[in-house]
Amino acid sequence: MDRKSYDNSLLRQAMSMERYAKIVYDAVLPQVEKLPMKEVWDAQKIFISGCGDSWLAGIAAKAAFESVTKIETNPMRAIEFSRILSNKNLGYSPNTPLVILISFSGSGSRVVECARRCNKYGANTIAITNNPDSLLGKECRYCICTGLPKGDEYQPGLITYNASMITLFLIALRIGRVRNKISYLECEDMQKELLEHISRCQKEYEGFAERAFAIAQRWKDLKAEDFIGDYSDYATAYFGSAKVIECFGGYTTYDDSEDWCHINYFLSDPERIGRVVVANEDTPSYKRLKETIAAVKILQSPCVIISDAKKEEFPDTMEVFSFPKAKYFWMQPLVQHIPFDMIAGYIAEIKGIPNFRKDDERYAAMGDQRSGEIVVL
Amino acid sequence: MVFTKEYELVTGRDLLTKITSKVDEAIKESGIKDGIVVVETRYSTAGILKISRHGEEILDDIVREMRRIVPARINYYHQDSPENAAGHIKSALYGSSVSLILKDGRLYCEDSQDLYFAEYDGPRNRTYAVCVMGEKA
Repeated sequence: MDRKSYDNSLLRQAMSMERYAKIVYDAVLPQVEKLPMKEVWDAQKIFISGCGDSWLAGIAAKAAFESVTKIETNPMRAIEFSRILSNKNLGYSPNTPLVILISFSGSGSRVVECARRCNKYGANTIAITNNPDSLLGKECRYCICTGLPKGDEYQPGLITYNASMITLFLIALRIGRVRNKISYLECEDMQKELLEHISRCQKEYEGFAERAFAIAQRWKDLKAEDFIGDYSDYATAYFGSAKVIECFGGYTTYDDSEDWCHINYFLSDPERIGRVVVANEDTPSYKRLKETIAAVKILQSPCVIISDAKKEEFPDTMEVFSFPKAKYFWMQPLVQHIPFDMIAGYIAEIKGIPNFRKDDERYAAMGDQRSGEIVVL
Repeated sequence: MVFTKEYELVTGRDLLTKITSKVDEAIKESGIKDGIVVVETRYSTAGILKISRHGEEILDDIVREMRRIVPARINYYHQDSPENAAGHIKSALYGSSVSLILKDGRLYCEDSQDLYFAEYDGPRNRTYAVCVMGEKA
């Protein structure tokens, strides 16, 4: 099989990640630096919300926020924030909590609903969107535009996911700096490292693509893919799982290492389930992740490990995608989704399945079920 | 004759770094015995101070009082960060250079005071320059 005949959107996005990261960084940094000190200072708690990949970007950025700002940060599903979260969490003190709402288009009903709810109770809001003229952009107190060029290829989401993460990281650094939790030097170094880490990792992708294609050929007929990751790496695991569905409609599941050992471990036909484990050395639960990997080995599941540790750390029967270590551990989610994005893209191409099941009109009918109703509780 | 020498330092957070020995070093290197010595930093969130050497507690008092007079507040017009905004004001108020008299190869204030590099928004990589102007003996 000639790999070049199986080119796909996710692969193209991965290969151009460095270029887009620079575009986003340059667009976002001047906007973030204008966030007023008073409101940044007032935030006693931070919520990050959005739908799908946007929400995952919030999970990916949780460690960054908590490490750099020292403020409790809660990534929350949009529907949970807009319909379930108690009012007492909103506006209990001026400009708090700080609620960061993410939507690439800025038109998602649920995130707009979140923004209106914040406005009703006096919470501070920042929108992250590529469309500042959107409903979300207008509804939020501040709007950070990710600055991605219009009309480029962003589906299934990869570049947009990274744009959200980069923006969140830069907001976290702004908050950390204003609150004097990081110095000017540290802030400058972290900003620089964001792009440098992406550039360092980009050099690995040609080799990763070669290996991803080989894995895709072996994994294309597996029964399911099962993803495992903890803390911020949970976002990487979940994101991979989402790509399985978006790219080829596969069966998939995701969990953290602890729950996986209690539940997913018992899935039947383990030798027909592809396991993807994100295991970085600085993750607080690294030892538990290694125990999980040992369990996967016993089950004889095909396994891909994504890590910043050396390959020798893991069983030699497993396929390890080793990433350069980020200077700041919370930056790892920026890039570690790439190997499985590539695998998912290749499996879809090999199977001849279009993204989002565009070959089956029943899937297009989802749009008809959307009322666009916005409820402000 | 004019002799200028630049020095580098890595500052801490809100720290006074004694630079008297570096200034003396520049004076000796210049060979100038009588004239004027100017010590200056080019940054706007740092400064050069001349402080009494009679007790370490004076340094603590100075840092504390500078913070009291110009606290890191969130309502400055300059919105970089509270420390940075206050740092600009401290630098403007307390000065970013000092001029000193050099007599017989010694600083006129040498017996009673030391020179300090004052950091108002650190830690950072900083530089300052010592310029000695006058006549060689």
